Amino acid sequence: MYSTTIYNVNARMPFRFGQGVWRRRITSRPMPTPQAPPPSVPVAPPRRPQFRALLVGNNYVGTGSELGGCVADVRQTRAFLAASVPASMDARWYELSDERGPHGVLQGAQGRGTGANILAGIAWMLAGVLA
Amino acid sequence: MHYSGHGVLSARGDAGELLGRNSLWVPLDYRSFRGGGERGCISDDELRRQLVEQVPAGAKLWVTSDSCHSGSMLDLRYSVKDASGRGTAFGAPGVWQPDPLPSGAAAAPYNPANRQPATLLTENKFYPPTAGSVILLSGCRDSQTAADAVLDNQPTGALTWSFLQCLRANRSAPVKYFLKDVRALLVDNGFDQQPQVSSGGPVDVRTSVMTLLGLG
Repeated sequence: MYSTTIYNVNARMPFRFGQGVWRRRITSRPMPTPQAPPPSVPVAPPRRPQFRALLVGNNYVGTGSELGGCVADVRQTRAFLAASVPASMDARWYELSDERGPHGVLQGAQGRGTGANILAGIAWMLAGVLA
Repeated sequence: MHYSGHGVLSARGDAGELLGRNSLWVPLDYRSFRGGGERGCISDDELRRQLVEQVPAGAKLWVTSDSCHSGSMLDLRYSVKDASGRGTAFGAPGVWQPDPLPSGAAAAPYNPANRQPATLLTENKFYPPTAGSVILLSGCRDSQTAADAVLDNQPTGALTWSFLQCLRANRSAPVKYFLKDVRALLVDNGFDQQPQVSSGGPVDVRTSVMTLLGLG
């Protein structure tokens, strides 16, 4: 008997209890005036881990104390690093070397292993990490 | 950072040098270069000031110095002792002997499975610890020379050849095994130089690993 009464009450409700009541109240309020979206602030992408390699190979070409393997050392080390550094890192190289080439003395991508160049390479290496 | 080239000892040295002589790198223009701290060369004091002490906390620096007399090339506080316990990277003279092999294995070639770790750290209290992680792999003691050689039909520095072999075989070996492997490869190939590892901070040679990204 009680259950029958309750069913009748529900059947007479013009809307369901719950969300319908609140939806009606909300829609009766004045609509907010549309606002311009906030200006988008450019977000810098997260900085990749930095990898800097300074490679110096001095063969002292043309001097009395010439060495043989130092430029090859740089080449070998560079090849190994290039194959091994994770692709997720921002890897850059700085090569200083001298080598007896077919048409004179060849040098590394960033020059010869002079004192000033080596110190500049050290500064470059640190700048990449500190930036 | 990798350096291959000539290295020499200075006639003078800071108070932390056990040999009393600074280690120097020789740039190509050593006849005219000034500004490396010493007599046309780049001194370890200068490297310490311009490189080692500039590495911030959180950054890792691995320097390889395949040059003569470069055991203390960065003047770092800690160095890994020889297996024999004698001498350090700072150049206390002495003849290093490989560990005695078990009987019957004397003629056997080097086998990484047989290596016997027995290394400790030596502390040089004259040099303060560094902020960042700095590690140096050098080709020999301060008192030794590093060889320029032809291996596998390629001209190469003996140390560079050896440590690249070891890194190719094992990308992340604990420091003590790494150093032992590098040395053993050189001993097997007839070199008497003893590569040295020194570090700016204390390092547990059993758990810290050498990777190409620095000390792990």
